[in-house]
Amino acid sequence: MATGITFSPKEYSCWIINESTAGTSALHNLNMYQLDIDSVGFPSLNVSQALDVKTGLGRTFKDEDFFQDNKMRVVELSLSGTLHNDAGHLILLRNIANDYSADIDIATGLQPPTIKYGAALTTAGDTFTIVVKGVDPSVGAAVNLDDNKNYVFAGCVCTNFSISSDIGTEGGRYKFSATVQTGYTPNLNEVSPRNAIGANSYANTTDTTLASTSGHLVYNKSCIMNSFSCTIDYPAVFVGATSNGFDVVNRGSECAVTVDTQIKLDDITQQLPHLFDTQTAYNTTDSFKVVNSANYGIEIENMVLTNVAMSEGDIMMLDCSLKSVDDGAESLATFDVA
Amino acid sequence: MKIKLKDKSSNLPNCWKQCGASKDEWDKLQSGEEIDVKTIFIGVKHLVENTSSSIKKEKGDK
Repeated sequence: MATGITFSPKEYSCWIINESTAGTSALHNLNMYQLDIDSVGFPSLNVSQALDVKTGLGRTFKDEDFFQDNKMRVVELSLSGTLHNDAGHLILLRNIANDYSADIDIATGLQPPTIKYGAALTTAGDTFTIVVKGVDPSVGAAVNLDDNKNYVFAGCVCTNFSISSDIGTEGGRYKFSATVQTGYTPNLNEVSPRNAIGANSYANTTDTTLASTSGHLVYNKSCIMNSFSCTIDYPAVFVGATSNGFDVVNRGSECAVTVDTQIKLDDITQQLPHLFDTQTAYNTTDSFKVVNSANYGIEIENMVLTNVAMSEGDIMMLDCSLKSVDDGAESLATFDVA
Repeated sequence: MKIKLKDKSSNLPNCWKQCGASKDEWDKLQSGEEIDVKTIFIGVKHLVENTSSSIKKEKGDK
């Protein structure tokens, strides 16, 4: 018989922790960090199904023809929300940048780490566990869930991470969006009590806004910035088969760092359309810079313009897009977080 | 060089690293105290005054 038990979508929360063994979920009552996300979206489970009609009597799909595989598939989660400079949100950025100390560099000649599910990681954090934590108000904080489940995604890597800010949205509060993938079979039937998954909630003192930044530069031009979005895209590749999913995680052929920004058209930035049209090489100094000490300041030296266009508003603005270039010496991007 | 806020009610951006200062020193500057910096980053030039240079001027006046 159906029951009246109900849950609010806002009663789910998202928690993250570094793994030391790839694919081994690391649920912890103290060492997990809550991500400040707008809402918990259900992941793409991407199970492989055979639903085609084969041979037999009639024009129907026969029971014996059904097949489903939940091992050789990639599970993908999309996360977006407010960016905080805390250990939890940094797990995502550090993972995609493969940099685990101090300020975060996308290094020149970046190489991915070696990751084999079930094996110890060279660096804790090369994979991480994400838990979509359910609640069950009918049981105590220390009692296993009864009417709801936690969803545990072990062996995750971050394949896309974007930092953005727009002065028209929450006063320029920094936002993030991330795509997370795992080739390790998730556990959608986990029942750990809610006080077993925690306990580091995000704070409203660790966020940052565009108002706390200074020294805005685009293509080495001092500018008045309305908004920006800096995106790292580093696709994951999953290969090999095990009873728990894929065997090895590696990365695609490119870690790309791109920037989209809207700046004021003025006597300084008016040169950018012409520079975009006539560029024959990359710009070598301060191609994109937003100074924000220890609060996700961004510094990219070498970039090419990939688009410049006027944007009509109350005043004329410029929409600029840039892509980071590896000159063999300097980082593709540096994020000032420490 | 030593700097202090021109107007104690103004807010400083986060650029203590670019000025060669620590976060603690930056907080002191924000609270109105005078601090030592290596350079005055362009982002705060309009907000602070170089008190070292004003002292030199006084010596030159003698």
